[in-house]
Amino acid sequence: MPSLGQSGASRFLALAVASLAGMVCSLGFWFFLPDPREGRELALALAAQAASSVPAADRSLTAPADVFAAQALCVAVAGADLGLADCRLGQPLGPQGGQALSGAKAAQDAAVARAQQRLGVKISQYAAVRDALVPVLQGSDRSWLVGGIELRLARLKGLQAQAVVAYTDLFDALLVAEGVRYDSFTGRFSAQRWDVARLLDMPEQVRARAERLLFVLQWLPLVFGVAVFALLFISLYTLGWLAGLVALVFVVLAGLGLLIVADASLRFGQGSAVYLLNPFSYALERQAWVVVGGLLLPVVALLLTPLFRPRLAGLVAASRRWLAGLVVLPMAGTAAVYGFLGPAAGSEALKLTACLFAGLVTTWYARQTFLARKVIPHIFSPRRVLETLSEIASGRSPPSAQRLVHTSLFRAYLGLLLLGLVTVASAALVFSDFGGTLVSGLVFTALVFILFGLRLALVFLAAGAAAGGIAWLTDKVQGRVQLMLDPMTASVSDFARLIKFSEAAQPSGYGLGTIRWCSFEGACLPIQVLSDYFPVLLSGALGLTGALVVFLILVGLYIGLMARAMLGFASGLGPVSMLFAVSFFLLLAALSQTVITYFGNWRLAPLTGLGLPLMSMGWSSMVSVALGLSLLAVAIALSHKPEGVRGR
Amino acid sequence: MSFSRQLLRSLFLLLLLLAVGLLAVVVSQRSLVENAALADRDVFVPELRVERLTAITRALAVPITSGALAADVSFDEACGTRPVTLLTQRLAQGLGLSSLADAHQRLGAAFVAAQRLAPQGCRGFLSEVDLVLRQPGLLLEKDSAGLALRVAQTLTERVSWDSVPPCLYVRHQGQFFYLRGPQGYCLDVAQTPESGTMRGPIGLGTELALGPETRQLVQLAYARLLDPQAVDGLPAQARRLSLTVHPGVARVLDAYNDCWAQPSGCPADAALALHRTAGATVVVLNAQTGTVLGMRCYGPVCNSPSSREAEPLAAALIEAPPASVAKLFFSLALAETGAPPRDLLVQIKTSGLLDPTVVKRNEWWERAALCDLQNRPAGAEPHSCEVPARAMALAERFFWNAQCASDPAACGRVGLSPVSQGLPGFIGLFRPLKGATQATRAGSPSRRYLNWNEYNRIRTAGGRTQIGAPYQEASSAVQAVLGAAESRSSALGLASLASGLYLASQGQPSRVPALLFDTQVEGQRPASPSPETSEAAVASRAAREARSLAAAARLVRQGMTKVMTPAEAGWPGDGTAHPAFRASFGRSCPADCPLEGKTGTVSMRDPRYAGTTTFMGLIDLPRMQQLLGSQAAGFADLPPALALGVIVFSPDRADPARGHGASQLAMRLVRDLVAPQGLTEPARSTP
Repeated sequence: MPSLGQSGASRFLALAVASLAGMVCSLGFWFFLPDPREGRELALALAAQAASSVPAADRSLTAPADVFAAQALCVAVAGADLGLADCRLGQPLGPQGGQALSGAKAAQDAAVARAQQRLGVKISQYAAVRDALVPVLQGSDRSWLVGGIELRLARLKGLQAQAVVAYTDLFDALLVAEGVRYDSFTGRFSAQRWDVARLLDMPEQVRARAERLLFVLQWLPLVFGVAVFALLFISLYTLGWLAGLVALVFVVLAGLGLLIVADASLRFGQGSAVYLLNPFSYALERQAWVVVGGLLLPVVALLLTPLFRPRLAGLVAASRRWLAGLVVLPMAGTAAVYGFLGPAAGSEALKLTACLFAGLVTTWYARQTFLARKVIPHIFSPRRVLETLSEIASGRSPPSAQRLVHTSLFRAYLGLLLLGLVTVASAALVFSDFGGTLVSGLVFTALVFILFGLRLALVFLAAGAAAGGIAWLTDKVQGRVQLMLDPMTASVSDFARLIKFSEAAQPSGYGLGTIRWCSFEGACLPIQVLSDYFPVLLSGALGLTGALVVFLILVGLYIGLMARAMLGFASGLGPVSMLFAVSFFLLLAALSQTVITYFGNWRLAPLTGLGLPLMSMGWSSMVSVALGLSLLAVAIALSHKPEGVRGR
Repeated sequence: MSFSRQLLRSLFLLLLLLAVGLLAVVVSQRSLVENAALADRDVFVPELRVERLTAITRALAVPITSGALAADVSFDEACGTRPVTLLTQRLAQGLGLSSLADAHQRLGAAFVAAQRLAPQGCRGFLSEVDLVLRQPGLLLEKDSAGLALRVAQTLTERVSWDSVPPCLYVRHQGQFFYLRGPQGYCLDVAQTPESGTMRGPIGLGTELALGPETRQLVQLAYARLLDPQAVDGLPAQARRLSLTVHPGVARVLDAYNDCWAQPSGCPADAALALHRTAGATVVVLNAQTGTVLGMRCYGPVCNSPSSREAEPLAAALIEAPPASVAKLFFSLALAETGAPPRDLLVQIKTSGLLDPTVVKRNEWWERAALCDLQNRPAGAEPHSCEVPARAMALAERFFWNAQCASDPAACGRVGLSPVSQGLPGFIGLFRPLKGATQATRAGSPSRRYLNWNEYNRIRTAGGRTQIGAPYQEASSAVQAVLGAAESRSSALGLASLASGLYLASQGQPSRVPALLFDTQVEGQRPASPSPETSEAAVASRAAREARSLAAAARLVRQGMTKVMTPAEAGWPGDGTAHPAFRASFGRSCPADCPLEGKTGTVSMRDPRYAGTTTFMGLIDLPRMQQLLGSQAAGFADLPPALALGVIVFSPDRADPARGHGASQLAMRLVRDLVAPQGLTEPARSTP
């Protein structure tokens, strides 16, 4: 690939093009960003702060409590720890259940009185927030916020007005007043992050978050433009026009995803009494870091290439020595990530591990298997493999050439492959991560295909299909199949809402910055919409045609990059080919995930819970693509100076 | 083949395989994507979950016979100690079971039933059982189909994204207050078109402190409006509807909620009227517009199977014979045909009870209904009589017998909403012509009637063999004038009649009672159907008829005024509602009483409604406040003329000494509406 870095004119041209693209992207980004005035958090937080400045009758009751009022009430009335009490009934579990604890009657009464006092304080706090909001919002298009608080207030006041309050009603009212959930199964209480009660107990944090959001909205176009400029300039300067074009497509798609997240962080939940506080108000800031980081990763990688160059060969040689460790450790780490960071991170770790493994194995064994196939045609056909196995079983000696090749190659990494497959199977069975399993399975299948040819890959695929068939019988997969086949009668309404949202948006979509996140009736898109259902969002924002165009661009981008990586791998040797190989599998994983996610969203396949690479919210959607691109860019940059690398 | 070529070939094959695989998926699943049926469905119903929850509910509700269960072991194993103990205790408490073992066994059975339908973890099972326990109505439902329906209703979600659901408001003191509907849309005043009646900020509604009954009404009205057919075809702006109820009137009606059961907690005269009755229904209308300002049903009668489905509408739906109130239709017909005004007025006043010239109760009315006031001899030939047909035609001008010809199932009913058929109200049935369901098809000229003497002779002698068509015609007319036999009405119908008379006396057409009005076109609700078209000649005939009806209505209203007044010179009896007026206000109403009314009492021989009392009335509010002087400080924004319909249902053994329950309750209501002592004015929005 020709570089532009050779002459001053070319350098100037690269600078000009990158600057122009940066400016256009920045302006475009600014144009399509939603109007910051549509946000509601700041108004709510200011009202809450104004309300909290009013002196309370009993300061001790308004101070942040260590335990939720409902929790304290439950413990006092039930006379048992949370694990041993049913807080809904206010009774201890076990033989004493259902009986009033006469000895503790006075304490119970005191607890009830205190709970009622705290409820009263909460009511006055809500009323104060409402009163502070009314002059600001009533009569505006955000008066529904006042309505939402008023509805809660009415519910709580209704209970307060009762002459005799039953424990259960008081407990429920406290849960509502404090925005807390009680999990009967575990006996634990947890605060709901986006409940409007957070306004009362942490108005400063809500305000700070809202102000940060406004700050990000204000400066993001500029930052995005600079990041675009940096990526484009370095791509053009180092790798040439084609790389510049790829970088441009990359930033446009990532920017599109970021714009949709920006829309959600400002407008999600509008009109819904459930989401008075926006559950995504934090999302833009986080995703901005992710996207800017994703854009800058190739930049940093390319800038650091000269530093890597002298050490790369050593690193690669070490990797060969420690191949087993390089594979085993990440796989163990993957399990830990699943356990500690959750399925999304675990899935990404699994994918990265699978790609790393596939890349390393391809690097070290692809040429050997190629030579073996050249010398002994069909050596990796299932029949030949079975012949070897039967030969080994019969203990015949001397071994045939075929057996020697088979044992040499399979011994080298069959154990690792099996370990990888065990990890993948664990992800499916233990963590129910069918999406990660599917993508990793496809990476392994591609690896087998590239190394051993179609026949063995088909056997591998058949084994995978059999495993998939078993998975098909599980409740979770069955549920997802039902969700795909008949979303209007499935167990959860997520897909039904998404379908109706998508239908309503056609033919041209709601447009960027104006997505209708909630229906007029107050039903909103599922909370996972920015991760699992991004293709539907694209369809809602740009129309079905727009979503299809994005799909085709993504697929074309990944295929083109994979082909480039494959070419680079074929023509490179040693460390550079390893970079090409790993980037190839990372891009293959991104391609597979894109197809799986789109098809799931289009109801052509069961949903997997995977995000759309490059566009969905969260670093897990960005990392494999950014890493794949970065490795490819570095590999290409390194292969421009073969003498510096190959010679070692 | 070189290594590079081999790799590229592999990549190409890989992509080809991928493309072929995807194509196969797309082709095989295309029907799913193009599933047009989804486009028609706006509701999400989790069918398997409905089935599972139904099975769980059924299992929980049924006691287990001993030794029937070994299956609960699986429940214990699957769920662990805490969930099992927790659910057992909750179920025992929820169902009031004395034995935890019983609850445990039921849970085991429910778990097995749920697992049989679809395997489910314990957490899911726990939340399903919790859901059942939080909806006690589910466990009380005996009917399987009914249970499944209720569960389905509980779990159904509306998922439509582009439909604009209606907004429901209530207007109070000139401002609209939000009641139901998507807040983001309904509270956004910027979206209301300028031509509408909605101006200024919309109140939040909750500050009106509507009682539970009114909230139920709001809920029902909105649920009916959500029926897509109810609002389809209306532009989005027209889907802003206002409930017509007046929060102040609703609060007055709330004050009598417990009177039928706990007289100590309610006003004395309301307690007298309601205590130990079978219940009562009350409707208050704006007499000028026919809009419902308040309606309420009290007591066990509201829970009858026929009214249970639409309990908040019970006052508009529960039927009873109108009794003597039906005389007003004949009064109008008689007034039009030139009956002596003085006789008519006093007969309305005392409902014929104290006619000094006759010995039989209601004889004057029966004679009048048979066009026999001149007292034909017993043996005279049957004669023709226009009065019954005219009375029926007039009743139909007030929407009685509505839809009887077009939809027998909805006979006598009207829609209370301008957009939805889901809010019915029963006006009444009035059939003085034998076999005729509507006056326009009656063919009255060919009908012949026995004279009253002959009719009465046969009636008292029970001479069955002599019964012929003229007797039957006479019997229908007589039963109708007494508001008996097939005659039926509701509190809504009675109030609507009062409103209709008020409008007719002013030469205006009647208005269909309404519970909702379109905020964009208020005041354009349909008036009574007129058979005439716009042709000039017909129009002038209609005008003549309207003038004639107006004069008749004014005369009848004079008679209704007398109903409230004491005895007068030349006619010894008090008006039938006078005792109640006096009891409630501590004085008699003067001759120009601002209250007008008509009472009715169902015959003690009626097998079902014996002793039931009815009242319809008109209140001139400003004059009433003037009459009460300094005591009066009523709701500021009540309309000047109110129409009232009251029915008090008698228990099996009615006690005649209790007096006229309907007029007693009506007078108490009038007093509370005029001077609502102790009932605070609902607050306005207080920004």
